[in-house]
Amino acid sequence: MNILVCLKQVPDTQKVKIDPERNTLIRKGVPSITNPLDESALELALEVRSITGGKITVLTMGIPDSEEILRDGLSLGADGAYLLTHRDFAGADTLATSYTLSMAIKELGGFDLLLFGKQAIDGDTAQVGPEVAGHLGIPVVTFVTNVQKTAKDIIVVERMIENGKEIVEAEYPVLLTVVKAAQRLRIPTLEGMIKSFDIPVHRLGVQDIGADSSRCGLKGSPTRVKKIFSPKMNSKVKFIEGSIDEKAKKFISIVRGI
Amino acid sequence: MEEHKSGIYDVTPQSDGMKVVHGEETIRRDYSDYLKDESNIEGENVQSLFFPRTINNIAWIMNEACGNRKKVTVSGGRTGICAGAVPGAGGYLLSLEKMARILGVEISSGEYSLKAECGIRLSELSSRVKSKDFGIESVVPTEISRSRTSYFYPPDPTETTATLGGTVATNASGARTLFYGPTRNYVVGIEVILSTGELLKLKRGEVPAENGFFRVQKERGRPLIIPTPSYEMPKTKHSAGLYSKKSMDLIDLFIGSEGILGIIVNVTIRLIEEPHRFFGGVVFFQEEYYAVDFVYRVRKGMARPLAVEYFDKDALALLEGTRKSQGPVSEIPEIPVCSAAVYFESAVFRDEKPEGDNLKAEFLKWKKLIEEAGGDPQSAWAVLNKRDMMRLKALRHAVPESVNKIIAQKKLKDGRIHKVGTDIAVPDEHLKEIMKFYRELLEAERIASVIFGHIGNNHLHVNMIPDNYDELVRAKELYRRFAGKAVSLGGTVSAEHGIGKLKKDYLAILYPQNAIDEMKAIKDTIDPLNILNPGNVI
Ligand SMILES: Cc1cc2nc3c(=O)[nH]c(=O)nc-3n(C[C@H](O)[C@H](O)[C@H](O)COP(=O)(O)OP(=O)(O)OC[C@H]3O[C@@H](n4cnc5c(N)ncnc54)[C@H](O)[C@@H]3O)c2cc1C
Repeated sequence: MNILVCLKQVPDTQKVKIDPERNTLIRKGVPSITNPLDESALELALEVRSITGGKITVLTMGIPDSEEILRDGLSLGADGAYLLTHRDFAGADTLATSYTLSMAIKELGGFDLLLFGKQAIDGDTAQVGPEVAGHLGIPVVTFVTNVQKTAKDIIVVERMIENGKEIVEAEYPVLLTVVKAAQRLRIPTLEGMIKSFDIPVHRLGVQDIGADSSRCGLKGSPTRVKKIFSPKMNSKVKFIEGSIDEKAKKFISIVRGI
Repeated sequence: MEEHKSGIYDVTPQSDGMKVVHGEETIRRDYSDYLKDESNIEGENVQSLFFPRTINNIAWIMNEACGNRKKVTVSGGRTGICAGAVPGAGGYLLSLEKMARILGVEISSGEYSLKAECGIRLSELSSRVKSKDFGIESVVPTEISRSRTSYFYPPDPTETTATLGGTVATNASGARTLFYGPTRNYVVGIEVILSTGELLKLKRGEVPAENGFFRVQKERGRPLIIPTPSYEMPKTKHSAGLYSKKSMDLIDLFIGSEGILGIIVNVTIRLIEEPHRFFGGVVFFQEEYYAVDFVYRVRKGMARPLAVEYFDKDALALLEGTRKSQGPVSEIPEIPVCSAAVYFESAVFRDEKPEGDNLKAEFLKWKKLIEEAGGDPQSAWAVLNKRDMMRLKALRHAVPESVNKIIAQKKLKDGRIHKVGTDIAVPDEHLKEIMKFYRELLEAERIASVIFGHIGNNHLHVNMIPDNYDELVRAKELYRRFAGKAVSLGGTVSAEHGIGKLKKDYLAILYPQNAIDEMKAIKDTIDPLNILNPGNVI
């Protein structure tokens, strides 16, 4: 099995403060970590590989410093690592990010199983995984909690849905977005750590992956953030009186008015 | 930062703005947390609970206490485990938690120091030092604010809700004490309110012992003359009774004095450059003997340990139990089947320009030691990133915390039950012997226990978990025998937690009566009415 895991370096939001005026994250002095759901994806990859054998490649797009999270992935047993880093990649929204990642994935080629965290804790969009599948024209299963079975041509996974779970069978290649695993990411072994120092992290730029630079980074990003705000908390209680119909109507008008 | 000179100063007593709660009933009902510390023992008969905000507030309280003949107990973060902060004789209780500001930072002759009020929690202190956001009005020197170097304050008893004052009062240690030494090594100045309400300012190096006495000048009148102790302390990590050394500094008498000599109101500490990168790991052994052997090899080997910590099979079983019952939220990773585990920590320092190769070489040194000691590098863990380091720290902290939870349960059955946790250390060469002694006696007495802690300093916590009163009595007897053995090997009865109210019997095992009399004489000179922290230490 040839497995790819995409990782993102994010600020540790447990330690982030919000700029009260601009409503943006104050990133200064905040430690960077691997996006926790991506860690779940990596843990799932390690579990699958322990059964199927094969190779795990970790990939990220980010500043040169994000090599750290790839190194962490290698110390856990990933076999190869690629870092998409180039100034043309900077400022990407989910569309440009998923385009860039998909170009890299095509360039590297041959993956059976592509694992993403469901979403990153700094943007919370949950779009990148499904969009990559779109660019690649392969199926995607979202909200995956675990893998039930792997066979030569198919994989059976469990996904979380509103009131329970759903068992999905898919053919390779397939992209999974993973939610918090039952098992926390393992700790590297000493042997794995020592080995990882000998594995290079390959850097890739726009040309290396044959990307169109107008579709990358800020240039390729149609998303404009107009305003970020936290909703005002209001703990006033208001009782709605009347018949069920009246209550429903009043309720809808209140909600519309918010 | 204001320059202070050692000496005793008058403070104008003034009580404005201070919160006070009066009445035994009210305090027991609404503030019962303040009557306990982590020993889970509850104090009684507290008539007034004060939350001072200033030095003047404290001076006022001490004047009141003297006038009304009240005893005063000092309370910090209440994370102590020897009931030091538990009011022993009623009267007044002083919680210092509202005095938690950083007062200034400074660089002088290349040394970076920080002055803070006693009530600041270690968690707050360390995050402020890390972010260099001190929340103070006075100017932060640009050498600190602009520099890219990270600094830190090494003492870390893992319980980060401990206060700075409390850790100075107990001379707290932690895992990295193996490399960095205890709290004492980082305290360069303190200000203390004496039982008379006077303020004693002490700067390291300014009041040395001379001809058997310390002389401290008062603002007015005659100097205070304090006899210097002459007994010999064990040559191990040590925090039992008042400090004593040939040519000692008065500041060291107050550090580790568990509040019996005065109330430490603020502290100036020395901060040091953080290493470029900490790293560490956990090694799992099939036999306890191999784990102990590993520690001996680490001492002799090329690796540079900052911390070497131990988990015995019972500690690991406890962790495994917590992991199973709490699931992933416990943050506890699955632990390989084994009989003992050793946590090690090391670092590459800034001047070593560490790149991958260098780290690899460091890890290889550990691997060699592990293999030589019969450990398995395939199952051993290795951590490099901060989050994994924090996970392992949480793992270590979870052991005593889990024990405390079990004890709290047992206490519901029988209120007299409490943890019997040792804090004994012995010199390096006697680790194997003391370990064997612990095992033999624990097995003979069949009392549930876990052994964990600072094995690098030969300082293991044997936590006995009595199931009933009879076992409690036997556990205490075991402690006495452990203490006796340790003392016969040149060790100490308390290496970091202090004596408090629970371990006075063991102090008597460590020191002859004349040493304890010397401590009493010092106490009498400084606190003649025996107002402060009655029941602690002596
Ligand atoms: C799970 C756990 C793990 C721990 N691990 C360690 C460890 O590894 N190493 C270690 O050293 N300790 C350890 N401790 C013990 C504890 O954290 C320390 O004893 C700590 O130093 C006490 O600080 P505190 O602010 O909580 O003081 P308190 O418990 O409030 O008080 C301790 C003593 O100091 C006195 N005191 C407090 N503040 C002042 C002051 N300003 N002036 C004068 N006297 C004062 C009190 O009267 C009392 O006698 C651990 C505790 C727990 C619960």
